[in-house]
Amino acid sequence: MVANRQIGCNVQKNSFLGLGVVIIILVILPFVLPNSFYLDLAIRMAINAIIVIGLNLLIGFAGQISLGHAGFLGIGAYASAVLPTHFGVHPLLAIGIGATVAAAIAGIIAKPIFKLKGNYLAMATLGLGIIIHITIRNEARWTGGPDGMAVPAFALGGFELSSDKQWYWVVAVLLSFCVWSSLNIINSPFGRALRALHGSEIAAQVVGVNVVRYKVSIFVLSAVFASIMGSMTAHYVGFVSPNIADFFQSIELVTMVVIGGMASVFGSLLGAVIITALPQALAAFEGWETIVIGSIFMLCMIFLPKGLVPTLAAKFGPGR
Amino acid sequence: MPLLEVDDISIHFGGVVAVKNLSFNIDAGLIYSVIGPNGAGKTTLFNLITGIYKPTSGKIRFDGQAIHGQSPNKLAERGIARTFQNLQICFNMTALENVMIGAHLRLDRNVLKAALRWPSLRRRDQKLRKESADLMKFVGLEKYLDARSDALSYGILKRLEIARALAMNPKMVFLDEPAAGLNPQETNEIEQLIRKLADSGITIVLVEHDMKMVMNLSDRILVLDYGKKLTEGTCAQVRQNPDVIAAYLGTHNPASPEGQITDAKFQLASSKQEAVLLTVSGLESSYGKIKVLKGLNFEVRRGETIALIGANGAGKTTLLRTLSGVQHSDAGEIWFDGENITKQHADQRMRNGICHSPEGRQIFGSLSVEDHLFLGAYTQKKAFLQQDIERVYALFPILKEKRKLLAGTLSGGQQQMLSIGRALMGRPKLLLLDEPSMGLAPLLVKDVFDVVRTLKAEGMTIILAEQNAFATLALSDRGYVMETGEITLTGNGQELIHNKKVRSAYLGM
Repeated sequence: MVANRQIGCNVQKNSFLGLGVVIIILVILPFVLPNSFYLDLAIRMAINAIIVIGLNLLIGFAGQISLGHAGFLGIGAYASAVLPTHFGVHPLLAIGIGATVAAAIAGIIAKPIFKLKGNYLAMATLGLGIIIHITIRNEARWTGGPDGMAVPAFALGGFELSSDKQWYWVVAVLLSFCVWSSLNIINSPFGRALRALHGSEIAAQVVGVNVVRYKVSIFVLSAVFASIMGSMTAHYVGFVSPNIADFFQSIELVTMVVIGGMASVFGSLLGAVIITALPQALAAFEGWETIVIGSIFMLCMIFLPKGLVPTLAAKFGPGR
Repeated sequence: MPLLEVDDISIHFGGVVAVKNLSFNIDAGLIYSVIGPNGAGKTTLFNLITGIYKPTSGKIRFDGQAIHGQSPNKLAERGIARTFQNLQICFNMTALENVMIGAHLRLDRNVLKAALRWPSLRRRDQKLRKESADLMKFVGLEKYLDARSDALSYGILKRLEIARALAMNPKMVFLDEPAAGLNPQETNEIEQLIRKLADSGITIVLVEHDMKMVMNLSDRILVLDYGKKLTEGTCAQVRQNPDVIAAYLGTHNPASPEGQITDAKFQLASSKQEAVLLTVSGLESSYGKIKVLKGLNFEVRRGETIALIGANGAGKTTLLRTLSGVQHSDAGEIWFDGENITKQHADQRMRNGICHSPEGRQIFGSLSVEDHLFLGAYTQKKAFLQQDIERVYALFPILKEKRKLLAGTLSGGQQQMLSIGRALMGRPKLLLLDEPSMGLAPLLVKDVFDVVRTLKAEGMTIILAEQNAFATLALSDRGYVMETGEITLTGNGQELIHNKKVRSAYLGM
């Protein structure tokens, strides 16, 4: 028998240490941020982080690309905008309906899509995102078309979520839960099967992994992540426009995954934080900021091809 | 009742029949080996039984139930496990996780429970960690529990695949060349490991080129040739079967008159002391972690036909690839026509006159026959084009007939001719032919060898790597015998044909 120690657990221990650090930062942050501008930025970072963590389960862990993920963001956002406004649906129920619709679309579309690989998969998901975007823009009767529409405040019972402080704590709790549950998933039989089909689809198949079903499941799961956070964004901003579902939004999400680091939960977190902050941080460059951002991305890909967190972990940390 | 029953299965890839009307049974508890020359269909057979390919026709039953056409994950549920010739390791996971994934079907795969860290699921997972660690110990890898799998050597990964297969609690394990690329020490250890597996009651199906290992382990052996059953029986029966010897060493009997005539020719040729065209010294090359060429030294004179023979995995193909520059060398020098070409890329070497007809033909299915020949002449002056094409058509009249057709529609033999033709269009000073007879029907094999004979008579320098040792040696001036990346024997054709070691290199006798 192998000695009675916890085998192969150091990786997990490091991860949960990381979760602790994230929670501590989240708790301290509102007390050190100088004004509401930064609080707003922090909220948007956290929302993006949750979406990107979900997307990274699909891209980084399961090895499948989606270039249309903003479409699911749009479904959630517009569910929360349209349903309460036009039909008087309770906001919480609207979030649930949005997530269900996103899951259903993802599930129905995923099976034929995941028979594809590489470029074809990218094209198919791209097309899916574009279709959702166009639908939202064209159904002006319900969605306000290109002009967008106002979203009622999120209220539960008599309590209305309105101040940035309240929003911050809601999003911080969601983010902590998201990091925790993602780490759990990655180190579970489900998560190992995902990583295995990324590492070698053939190997995964011969040990009994139904690869298509797993790809579909994780696609649906990440779509649900995106839809719920789309709803949150809509309520938080109080307004939605079709831009939330457009191609550039999808690309930005993928960029966050890649810059932060594929197959790294904390990488997604960092990627979301950096890329949400970059336009603000580079405001001094005025008209040139897009070029500077582009150059930073290119340098990152050349010098840190595995993304920030995995590269740094390999350099300074043990294990992964 | 046998555990596995294979009943009359066939599979076609396009026009090529890879496995044809094959039937056999495997009883529970045996070590059952499948052997045969390169391209005989062994790995295809594994892929058929384990669900990677679906048979075109025929039935397969496992444990009494029909399994043909089922996907690999369904077969895993029934207790069929396998390892792979070219490793299928998940390099994004640790060594231990690679073993744990083998237990996939026995675990609670619920994603919600996983997300919420459900206690029963956690406990089961901890138990699995222990079990998997024990399995790694069983295959001798207890040192590598927490290792990243991409940091491990080839030999260790081979065992890791076996541990992963065992984690499935299989009834039957298919091992596809478990000893390929291993050194003798590692091969020995794998052999003992396989014996241990069999002793624990698992039925083993083995594809392996190391004949010594096959003969030591097997209870029964199935011999394949051209996708068909050549014979089946115990080690002793198979070893003495003349068909088996012919399949491995080629069909030309060295005592036949044809052999004698060729013999006289080569003596004439080798008595001329022509200038050296190619000199290779200390040449080494490797695929990732596996060193395939281990310091080769040899030379080739102008006008010589050199036979490169040896069992599968000896390094023949790698040597040709390294000579043409498709494969990088790690050490050593290659001098060609008075020039050091070690640092030259494949395209430069081709301009210098080294033309390669690679293993597996490498034909572009969507280009026409004629386009292939134009492509082969890419580096040549336009003035030569018509004349050279006519020459290729004269050698292979069938290509002229089909010159407007897409190469993908040609038969295997015609594609082989096209591959040689394409190489000839580069006006080679040195022609490298890799297994031109592989997968061809005997009649076509004769045609291809006749062409080689013609080219030789025209004075072309040729290196011919072949499984078909007798036929190759019969038409060559000299031969080099390769074994595990080294040249172990050299001599003129006739000497080698009669050499006992040549037989042993192929058949492990």
